Amino acid sequence: MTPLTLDDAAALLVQLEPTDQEDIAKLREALADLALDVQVPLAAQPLVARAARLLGELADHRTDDREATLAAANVALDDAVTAVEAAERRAAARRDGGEARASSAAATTTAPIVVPEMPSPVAPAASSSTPAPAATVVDGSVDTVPDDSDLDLLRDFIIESVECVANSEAALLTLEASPDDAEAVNTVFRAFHTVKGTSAFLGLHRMAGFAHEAESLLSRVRDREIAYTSGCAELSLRSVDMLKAMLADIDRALAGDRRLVVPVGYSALIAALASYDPSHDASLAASPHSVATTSTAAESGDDTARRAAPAAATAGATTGTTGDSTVRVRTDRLDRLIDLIGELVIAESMIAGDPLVSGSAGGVHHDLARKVTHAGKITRELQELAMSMRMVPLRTMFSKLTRLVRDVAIKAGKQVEFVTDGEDTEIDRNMVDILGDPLVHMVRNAIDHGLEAPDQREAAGKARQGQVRLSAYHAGGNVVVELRDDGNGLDRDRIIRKAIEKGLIESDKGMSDSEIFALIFAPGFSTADTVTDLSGRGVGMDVVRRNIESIRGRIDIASAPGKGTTFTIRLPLTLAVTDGMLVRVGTERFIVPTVNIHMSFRPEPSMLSTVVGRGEVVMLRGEVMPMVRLHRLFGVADAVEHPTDGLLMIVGDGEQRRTVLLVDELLGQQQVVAKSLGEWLGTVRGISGGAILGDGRVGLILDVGDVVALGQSGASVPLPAGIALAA
Amino acid sequence: MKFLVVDDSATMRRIVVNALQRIGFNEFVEAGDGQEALGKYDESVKFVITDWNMPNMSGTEFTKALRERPDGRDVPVLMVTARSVREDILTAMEAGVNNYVVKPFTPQVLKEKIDALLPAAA
Repeated sequence: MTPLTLDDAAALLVQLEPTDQEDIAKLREALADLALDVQVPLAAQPLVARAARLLGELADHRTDDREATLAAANVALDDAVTAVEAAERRAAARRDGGEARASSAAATTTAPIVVPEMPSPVAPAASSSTPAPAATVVDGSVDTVPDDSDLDLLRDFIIESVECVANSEAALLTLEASPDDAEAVNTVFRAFHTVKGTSAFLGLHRMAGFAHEAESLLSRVRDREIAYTSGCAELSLRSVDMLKAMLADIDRALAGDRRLVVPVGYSALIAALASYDPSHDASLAASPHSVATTSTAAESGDDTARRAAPAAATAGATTGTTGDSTVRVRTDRLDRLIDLIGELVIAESMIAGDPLVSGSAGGVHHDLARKVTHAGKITRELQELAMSMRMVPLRTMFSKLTRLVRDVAIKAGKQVEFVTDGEDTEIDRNMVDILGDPLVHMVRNAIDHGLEAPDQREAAGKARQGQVRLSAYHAGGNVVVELRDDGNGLDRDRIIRKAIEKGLIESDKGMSDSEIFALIFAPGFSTADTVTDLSGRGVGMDVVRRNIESIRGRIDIASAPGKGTTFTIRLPLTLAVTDGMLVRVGTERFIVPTVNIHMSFRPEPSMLSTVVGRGEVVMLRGEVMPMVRLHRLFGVADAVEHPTDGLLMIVGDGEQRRTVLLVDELLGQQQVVAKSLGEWLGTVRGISGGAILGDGRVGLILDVGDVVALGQSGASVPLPAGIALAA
Repeated sequence: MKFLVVDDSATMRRIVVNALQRIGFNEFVEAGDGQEALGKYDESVKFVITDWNMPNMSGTEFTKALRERPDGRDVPVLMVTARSVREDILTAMEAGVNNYVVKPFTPQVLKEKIDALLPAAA
């Protein structure tokens, strides 16, 4: 080994010819080491590195103009020498000024000349820097969470990685549509890269090993070594799934026995990643990309709707996604907290409503009233905050659906552009799961039944690629989720034929379009000509409606022949609190969810009549609506018998089937914390739940959809005795 | 001594900060990408540790921009990287990175790297 100074190197380099392959390679190694030599002043480092890199291009034959590259290397090294001399002068000047300088021997710094196959300039840090020998791991084998791992760090890692993986999944789907999207490739690459780097630190070597293989595949795409073909897409998506599974496993292990299980297919996927050869899926690569994804940011159109949304939603919405620190909280604790705050709100309203505070004696206790008002204000703020804590953006659900669209489109042989909109819209976490299944089903339907095959579309003068658009926004205290396709629309006649065939209706006489469309929600109804494995098994839309109604939402359909179908789901912002109108019927009090109420009025005798076959009806401004006497339906005593003595309330479970309820009187608007009746009595027809009212007694929350259905059937469902007691 | 730790992964930042704390440093500024780091850098920062691959602005782009600032010419920049490919390292150094450390590293290795760069920073 011959020591080499920067000056020596410069002198050597000047003498080199572009063809001196061996000497160039040697000098390059020496310069690479010099670049990292701490004795070289910072100012010179980049120049030395540049010279080393240029020599590298020569050594590896990565340059066409060898002459120019060599000259550039010479310039860089000369500049480096100049920079070192300048640094020396500055240092000397400082020394003269009485300031000691630790080291200044840069220009005479030495570095060994080394053979080309020398390892990387600085030995890799930890012994574990090479990924674990992943391919030898047996699926299902067990490992444990590293003992000394910082648990908080691990949890942070999981949260961050899950987000990373979700982002990369979205990016992968973007790549389907535009395989050349460099930013998308980089996003996916970065996700694997980050997971790999971090998991290695945490001792999760198996995950690091896997991420390494996945990263390698993506880096080949990034470096344009291979194209992003369908085979590559498949592998990437499988890798994303694998990472998800592994992350979920760590999460589970942390909560439980700390044993990590290798997911099924781990070794096979590692092997597939490592041996991926794009030429083997040439046939697949030729097929057109069938799915495109676009996502538009929140459009200005729903700005007003957003403003109208209660603070609970907006408070959550401002949180954004940028590196906020988070604390993980078990959801049952969060639910309990929200429940308790709900109780607190009620307790507070009981105090505020106490005659001592609000009543005639209020004047005497003026100070107390003021304090109670203050406490009430804080309570409401607390409630809003608690609500916002359970709000999560729909983003995750949307990106899951994006993935689904891709898979379904391929299976169904359709070309689909999937557009999502408003994925930052927030929704009560507890509703997410319940909403998930219906959306999955509806999206499948939209692609499988809604959209026509490409040829058919072309024949109809449409683009071959159909569009399915999923949007979400806040409107009037609701979260609205809309699924729209530009397919063929619902076939009115076929629905009628089928409904008659299935005995759901006798004829379509007097039925509006929307009433006919609503038939597809009937149990056992299916319009698919052919039953595929994707949809059309005759179960589904009824379950969709039931799920949505179980979270006090409603679903409406609009459809135009040849233009497409739109499903609109309206959901309450949160399940924790119901906005309701408290009404009295005899000895009983009911809460009618405000969302279902259209108006209430005291009827004139002329408005009332009885129609054969439809029972009692109310006519208002030309509209004929069936009337349901709540006291008869629920068997309540001492109630107003004649409608003109009581009040009528127009309710609807959708825009269409409006029904009038007879109640004794309105007691006022109230927010209630809904509790499942199961806590008291199990399921009761027509009742969705109960709530503790301001006076400590129980009020029953009407399930308006069910009440309307019951009313039409003329049935009576007396309340169980226990409810009357409790109330 | 104040460190600027730049990484798009909050977990990685925490790992780096933890390691730094273990070897006796306790003043930190953090940034999630190069752009943010440029905003957070000032003369009070005596050492920069940056990730390479980040959205918006990568570690090399950040270092290059930093070196063009009068107050960022001399601060040591250590790059954290997952792979030690020599050509990549040289590219980074050309941009002004002074040294690098390969993930995963121990606090001890990090300390050696920092110590090595400190006397060079005048």
